[in-house]
Amino acid sequence: MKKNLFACLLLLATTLFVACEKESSTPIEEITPTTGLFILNEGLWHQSNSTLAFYNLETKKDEKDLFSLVNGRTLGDTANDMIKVDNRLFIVVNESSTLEVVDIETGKSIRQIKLTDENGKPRMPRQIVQDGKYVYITAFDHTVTRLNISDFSSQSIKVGLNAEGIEVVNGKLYVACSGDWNAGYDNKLYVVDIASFSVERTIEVGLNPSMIAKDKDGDVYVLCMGNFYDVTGSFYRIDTKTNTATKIDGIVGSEVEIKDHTAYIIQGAYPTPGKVVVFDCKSDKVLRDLVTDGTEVDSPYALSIDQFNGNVYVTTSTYLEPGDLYCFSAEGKLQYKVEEVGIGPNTIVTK
Amino acid sequence: MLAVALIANSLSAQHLTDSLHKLPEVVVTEHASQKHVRSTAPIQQLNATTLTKLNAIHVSDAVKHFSGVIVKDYGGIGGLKTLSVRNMGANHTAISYDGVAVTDIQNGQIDIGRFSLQNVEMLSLNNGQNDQIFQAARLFASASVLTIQTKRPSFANNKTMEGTAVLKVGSLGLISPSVATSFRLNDNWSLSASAEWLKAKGDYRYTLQYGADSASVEKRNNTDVENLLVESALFYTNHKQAKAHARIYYYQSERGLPGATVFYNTQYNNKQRLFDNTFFVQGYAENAISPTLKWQANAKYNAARVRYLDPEFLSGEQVLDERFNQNEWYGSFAMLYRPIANLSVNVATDLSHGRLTSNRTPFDTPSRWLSQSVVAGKYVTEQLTVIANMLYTQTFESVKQGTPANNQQKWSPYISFSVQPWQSLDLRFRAFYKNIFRLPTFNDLYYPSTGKRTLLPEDVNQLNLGVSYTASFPHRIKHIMISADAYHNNVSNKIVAYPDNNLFIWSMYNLGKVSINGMDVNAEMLAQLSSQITLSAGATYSLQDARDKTNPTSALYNHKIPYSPLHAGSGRLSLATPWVDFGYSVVWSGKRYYMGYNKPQYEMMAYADHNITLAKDWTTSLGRVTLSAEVLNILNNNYQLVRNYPMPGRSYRTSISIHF
Repeated sequence: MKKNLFACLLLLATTLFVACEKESSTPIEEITPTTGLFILNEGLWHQSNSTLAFYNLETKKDEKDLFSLVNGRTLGDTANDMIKVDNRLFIVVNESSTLEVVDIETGKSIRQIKLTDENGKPRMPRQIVQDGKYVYITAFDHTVTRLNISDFSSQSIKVGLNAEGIEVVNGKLYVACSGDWNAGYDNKLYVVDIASFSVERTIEVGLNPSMIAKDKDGDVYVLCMGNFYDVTGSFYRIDTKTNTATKIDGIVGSEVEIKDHTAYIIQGAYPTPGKVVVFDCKSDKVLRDLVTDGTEVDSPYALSIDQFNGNVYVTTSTYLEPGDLYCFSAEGKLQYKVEEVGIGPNTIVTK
Repeated sequence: MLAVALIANSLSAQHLTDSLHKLPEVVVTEHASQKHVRSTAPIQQLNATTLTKLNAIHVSDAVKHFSGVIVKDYGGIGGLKTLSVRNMGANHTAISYDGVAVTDIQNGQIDIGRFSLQNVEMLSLNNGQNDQIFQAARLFASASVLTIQTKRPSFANNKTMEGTAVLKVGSLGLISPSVATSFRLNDNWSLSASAEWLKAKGDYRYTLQYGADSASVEKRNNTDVENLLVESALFYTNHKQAKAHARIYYYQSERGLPGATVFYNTQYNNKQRLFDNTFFVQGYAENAISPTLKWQANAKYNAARVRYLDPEFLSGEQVLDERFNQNEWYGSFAMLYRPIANLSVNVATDLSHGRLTSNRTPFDTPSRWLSQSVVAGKYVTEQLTVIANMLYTQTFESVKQGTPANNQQKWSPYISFSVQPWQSLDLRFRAFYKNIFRLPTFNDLYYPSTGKRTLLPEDVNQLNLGVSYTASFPHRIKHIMISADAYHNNVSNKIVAYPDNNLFIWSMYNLGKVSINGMDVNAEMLAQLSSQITLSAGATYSLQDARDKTNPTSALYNHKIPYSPLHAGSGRLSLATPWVDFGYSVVWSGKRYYMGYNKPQYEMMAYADHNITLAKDWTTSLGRVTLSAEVLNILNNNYQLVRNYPMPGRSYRTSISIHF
């Protein structure tokens, strides 16, 4: 019950109000309230050329650099993650170590918050989630920061080395701490109790856990990257009721997103072309390739699922050129493609 | 190239010595301008006198005045500087220091900011290779060669000791005292010794533009540098055919590595330090066995340590402290044979062994035996020069642990000629073709997770067609020289990093193809404006169209490669008067892209960097004293050569030197 309520709350927050009511009963492919897409492009490391693009689904027009156009300044260096909370976008910019709070209607930055520690050192934020009242930000300084979205007050706690992926489940934060090649890769999820805002436990998974997503039952799925040398990547499911981890064999991926009980995973590495697969969270089995109409998606980089119609957005990146955005129906048929949305499009948020 | 050397040249132009029948290698003349004009492959030169007027204290400052070059400069005195010639990449430029190549087996790129000009007699840049075939095989083995020739002891009026002491002081907290001395030990032996110390705080203000409506004035930090260079050389000549010298060299440097100007976070990424220690000894000897047979030998031992320290690795919890040591042994032997008056043949063979160690774990500790052999022939008459050679290279790779990289064998041909159609007109046409490669570096092969042991060498083909003209006149304009060369290069099997393993880690692949068409134009003139005033001027212009030809289906196909301006050039002018010497120099570049994907948003602005110098000489009882003052980057423009690495704005430098 509590879990369902929570899922509903999240949907409420991340999408529009109507979503929650329609979610269970309405068939997909109906009139979609999604009117546009915000696409966050990280740009190139140390080039300070991250961009926020907007694609208007009604006019089919895109504005490639909305943030700079509206604000007269660029987003900064290596924007890593973005979420929607009410009518605002929260964007974490890793190298610039900032959080930009952006009005969703105008694209105007309401506030730029420098994320630094008590000594003024940049935290270098990575990923962000929310629970309606707070946003939670992981950072390279091995912390999770909780920021109140109404007064922007914040507090931080230490977790494991290089906090990356994060999810909120049942009043707990599940934080993937990857470590790094210099200090040694880590293999733990840190579980943070939100009420006391303290680390409650750790759960052992594969080496270098990075990406994390949760299904409708509150199970958390983690992609671990391995050490890029002799330990390959791995995939784990965590039952959050018992906090036990189960390894799921045969999956090495770079990105995972879940809607209800269906996970979408980007697999493959050069020279093998990358692809998106559809994974069933009930049977823990890969069902099929996402793409069913023969569309070729070179170098898939990020994906996102439209919570209304189940469409799957897939972006591409080689870092050498601006990537494209593909929209597929849940059945894997190409709906449309937006070309050259930006360099390294890593997050898509619907408007 | 020769500005003031021309003064000497024009004076002696009437009695040009034809050494055709005197030296085993058929070299017609040795005058700088003649060399420039006669060369079968383009050569550009800056001599010591010109260098003093170029607002240059390091080799990296001076080479910006050569055509066809791109200096990757991370800004400031301590910033790393590498030299790419005709868009082939810095790994294809060999640096020769007094006849022996300076190498870096770890990453193949030499920081040319480390070489001081204080003790340099001549700086030359050869496309292809030098026309002097009597040289070590290694000097045939690159797409272009930058030659740093140090000063040779020379003693006027039977003096037994000469020297120069210099003190430079300038903006950015620059202070650099140096001293160079040479001693004549006896008729055959002389000794030189020099030392130079340089320290600079290097910090400067710059304007950081965040976008159309937002900017702030920031301070560039962690740009300090402290260098020490100590060098000594022993020279022998028997005034016949035997020559020898030996050199000992030590350089140490500690510097800050200022990071990119990361927006909203400029103070981060500004703590990294780089420590360099380089020591080498090298020796050279040559002698004639008979009037038609001559040998030379070169040997070198080089030990280089690099320490990279990041005290705030991943925002401060960890320290990254990496040390890399490379050791290299090198030996070369060459024989020159002149069967007939106009023809000489050189056979040279080089053997070297390089090894890289590190405190990194795991580390493969790679080493490489490199064998290079060349057969070169040169045919020279007054109006025609033809050179051809074939180089054979063989590597033997080994590692202490793991699998070694593949061994490589390569044959590399070269052919060139220069022809003067009309004896009365010093107009020459020249052409060269060179097929050469660069070996994968140890970083390319073995760097953890990115390195690939199966990499092939990166190949380049160069074709150059040029024309040169020189003339001397009895009237006010004493001398002019102009040359223009058009070229086509292509780079294949280019070693590039390509995203691998889910884009988190990149690996090296032989993927790239680049096609380069370009033109270099150089012009020089010398004028005697009055009996006391001489004017010398020079200009270069480079047209470079370097395009990505890797993959016809890629969006980058046919786009211009990053950091390659279509138009660039330099100019310099110096006016010598009895009262003061005035010098002006400019280096400029047109727009270029910082991405291989060419869109206006990835464009970098054109820039021009103007500098002036005033200098005055006095002869005192202590010796000749020179005082000079320079204003650098007069327009105070924080232009960028590497994106987000702004250059210092206007700065000042003065120096006092005494030649005793």
